Amino acid sequence: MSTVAALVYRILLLLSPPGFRRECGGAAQALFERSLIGRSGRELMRRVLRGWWGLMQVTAAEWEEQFFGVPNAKRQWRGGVAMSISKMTTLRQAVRSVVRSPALSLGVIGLLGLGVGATVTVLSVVDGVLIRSLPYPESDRILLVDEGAHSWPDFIDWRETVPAFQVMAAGSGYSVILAGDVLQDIPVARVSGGFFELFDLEARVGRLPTDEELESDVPVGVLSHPAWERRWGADPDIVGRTVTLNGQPVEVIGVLSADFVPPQAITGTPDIILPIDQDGNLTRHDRSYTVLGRLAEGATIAQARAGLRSRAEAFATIEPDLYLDSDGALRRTFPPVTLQEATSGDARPPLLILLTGAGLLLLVAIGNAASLLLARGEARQGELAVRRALGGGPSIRHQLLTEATLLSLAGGALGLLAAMAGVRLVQAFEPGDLPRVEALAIDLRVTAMATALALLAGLLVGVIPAVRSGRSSPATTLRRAEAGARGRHAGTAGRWLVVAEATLASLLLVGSLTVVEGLRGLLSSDPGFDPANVWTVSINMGQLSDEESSTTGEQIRATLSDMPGVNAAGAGRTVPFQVVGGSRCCWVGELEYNGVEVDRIWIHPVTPGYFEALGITVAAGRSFRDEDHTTTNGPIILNQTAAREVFGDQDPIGRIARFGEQPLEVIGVIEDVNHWGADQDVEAEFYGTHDPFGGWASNLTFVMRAESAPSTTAIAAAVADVAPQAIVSDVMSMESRMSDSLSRQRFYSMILSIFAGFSLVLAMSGLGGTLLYDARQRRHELGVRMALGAPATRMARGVLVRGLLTVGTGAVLGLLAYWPLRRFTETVAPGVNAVDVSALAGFGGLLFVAVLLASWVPARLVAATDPAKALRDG
Amino acid sequence: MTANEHLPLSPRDFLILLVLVDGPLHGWGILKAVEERVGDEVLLDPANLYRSMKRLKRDGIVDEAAGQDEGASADQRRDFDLTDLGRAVVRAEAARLARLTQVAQAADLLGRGASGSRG
Repeated sequence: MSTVAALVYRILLLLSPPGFRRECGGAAQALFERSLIGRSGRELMRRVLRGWWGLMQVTAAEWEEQFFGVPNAKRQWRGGVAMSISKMTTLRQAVRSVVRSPALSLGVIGLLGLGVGATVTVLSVVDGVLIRSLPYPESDRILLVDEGAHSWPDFIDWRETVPAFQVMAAGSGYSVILAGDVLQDIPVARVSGGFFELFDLEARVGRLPTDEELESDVPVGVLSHPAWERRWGADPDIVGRTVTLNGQPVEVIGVLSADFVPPQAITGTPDIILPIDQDGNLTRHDRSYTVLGRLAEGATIAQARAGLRSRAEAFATIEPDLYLDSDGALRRTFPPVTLQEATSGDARPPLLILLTGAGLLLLVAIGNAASLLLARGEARQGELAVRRALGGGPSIRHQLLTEATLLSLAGGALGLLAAMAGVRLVQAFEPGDLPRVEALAIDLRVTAMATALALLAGLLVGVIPAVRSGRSSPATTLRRAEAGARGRHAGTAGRWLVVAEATLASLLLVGSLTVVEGLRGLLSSDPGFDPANVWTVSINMGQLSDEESSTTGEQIRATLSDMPGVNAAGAGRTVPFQVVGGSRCCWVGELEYNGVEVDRIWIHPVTPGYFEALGITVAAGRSFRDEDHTTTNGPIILNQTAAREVFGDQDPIGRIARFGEQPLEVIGVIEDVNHWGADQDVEAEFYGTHDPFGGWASNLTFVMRAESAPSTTAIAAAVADVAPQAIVSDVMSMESRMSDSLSRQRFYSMILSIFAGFSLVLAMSGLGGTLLYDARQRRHELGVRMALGAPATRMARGVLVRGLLTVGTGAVLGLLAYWPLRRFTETVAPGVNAVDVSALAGFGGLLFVAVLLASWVPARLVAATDPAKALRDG
Repeated sequence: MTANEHLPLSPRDFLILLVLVDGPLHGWGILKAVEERVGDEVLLDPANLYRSMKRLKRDGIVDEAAGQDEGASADQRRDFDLTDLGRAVVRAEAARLARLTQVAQAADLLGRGASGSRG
């Protein structure tokens, strides 16, 4: 609480004049923080509010001094002690004034509620996803060794030699088949010793495996609490029971405590945690494990980084081929990152964009609310001037500020309600890859943020009318009020507010249109294969030997391609658009030919029929045939990028490339395929009919080209004949895979569009209001001109032109502001074109229509002016 | 400027000057001393305090010196002390208030004579 309060104080301080901030800011901040030490409950709250309020008073008073010079002693702002009686009076007056014009007050509250609601919604997502620490003890000391998965020998070495870590653990998530009445595919994690110590875990029931058990082949496992409840009905006698995973018996020795949240980035969400299975993974080539470490007492992340880097250098002397690239530089340095960063990962840039968008919307709403209050301030000039003439200057400003604060607090409360709904919506609609989104909640921190935002907004909204109230001498104002004339300034200030609103709205609008346009472009871009009439189905064949996997996979493929209506069938470890969003799956290595080496080439184990089923064009050479399947060290097919990078201008067909020690013959080149999603660059990739590391995955995704969707049951029935233990997932069309792959970007762009839409509506209602106000003010003048023969249509056109000029200025300013920011749109949807002609055209068109709509009523009003009546009234 | 030209003081300024009569204090010291004298009921907030100090300094009523503790946080680095003028001002204000209080007493507003008869 104190930290948040201090942060708000710091932000409020930013609003005060620079002179005051320089001279007194630091001291006031320090004193404020000191005055909160050791306080709690109501006492703390009182001090926080008193501090904030005092700072707001001082800010207003200091700005006033800036504008109107040093007041004499009698005009001093009397806060503090003297105010204790008159404060209540001011408050009462403010409440009365707010209640007296309910429509206006509700308007201001609604506007601020919208702005605060949007901002707090995004803030609470940002807080939950990016800022709030992970639910582990001292979670900021848990580091992840970056650069993907690591080998078992590397992990063992770090654990023994890097002193910066108190404890390290390796782990990885898998899926296995759980035997029962029906076979089920369940997620499990295999972890090394140290895992439970690292997260400081306890067993709810039974016990946890020891570190020795975790690194032996003892078949034991612990259940996660949710899985224990869901799959085993929270059976209290579960300990000692045996479950069958991939055909192997495993003894359940315990259940984890309910509050443990598995580290998503490392283990997924496992139902069972099992000892690590380092069988066959003992070489440094096999990088299968995510590695975590907890910093030792007193150690820093820099020490950890240095320690890991020096190990990378040591590894390079042992196995230079593996750790050095062709230029002799370190291929990997194993930089550590905090688990927090690793967890929030990709979500950071787009969330920050959304936060900016929400902030812009809030500013537009503030501008709108300010112009409403300004208009009312004009209407109250007479009343205020009288009070000022009677010496009430300071208390008037005080009251205006109090009114704005009341309104903004009400707006903040509304915003909080809106944010509660907003967070629900985000949870309901987010595409499932926002980390920790299920734990989002509106709590004290978020409430404090909403209050702070509302107060800030109140200050911004209230300060303009307050400053204006002290501007002209009471006598002048009274004379003018008497004559029924209004200040010209109000019109000008109002128009500039609209320009500001239009600027911000344009910025949001052009940004969101660019993203939307870009996404449409991505969806319609050519992925390098023909997705129409392609269906995919993932099949887990269970625990099989490599040879069995290979044979069974081939049998299933043959079965599928014989099904009625199926024209071609094939399978891959992964298929295009299965692993998206910046992740990659499975294998990467180096391919070399004649001294030219590609450091990073992705390997796709596929079966014959894969290219045909997907409609991938073979650009040179040939596709795989059935007989290629059995060959170890068999032939490979490159994508065009790989062919260019490894072979340059030479024809690769028939040449032998080297993959480590293995000679691989290139038999074909295919056109580049967007395997990792439409927004990802195509990298060097090759396809082989065997796994170049030896072994075949037991989990394959099959692709079928068929006239109509094959039914999941039919496929399951057909597969059951050849592989009874296999589990068949739901059939999914390639087109829906592709569309789902951009669901995250679509989600972000949807929110951005909503913000942009709101801000456009607000800016346009601001414009409409100003034009209307203008038209009323100029009634007399219009009457005269019309009486002199000016046609009504020209007057109406004048209103429209005025609107276009005002918004046009804002649009130009908005575009200028967008220019340096344009690159950021790419973080919402990587690969979108930052400057899109159709987006700009759409922006112009939308804005023009909006201005027409907003000017319609004022223009009609002007055109319908009856000169005689206007002259009589005016 | 003579001391009288600064009168009347706002209650807040008066309280601040009063606590400085005993010797120099930094911001936190002033805040604490004011709270001790008037109780918890009224809090003087940091921003208003420093704004007042800025003005009092400008009017030559208080003076500022580097505090003893150089390494301390921003609010402890500066000590505030009364100038001679400041001392005169606070004395004059106290006298003024005392006179006003006497008037109030004479009018029987402060309760002391409420139960007595005017015999």
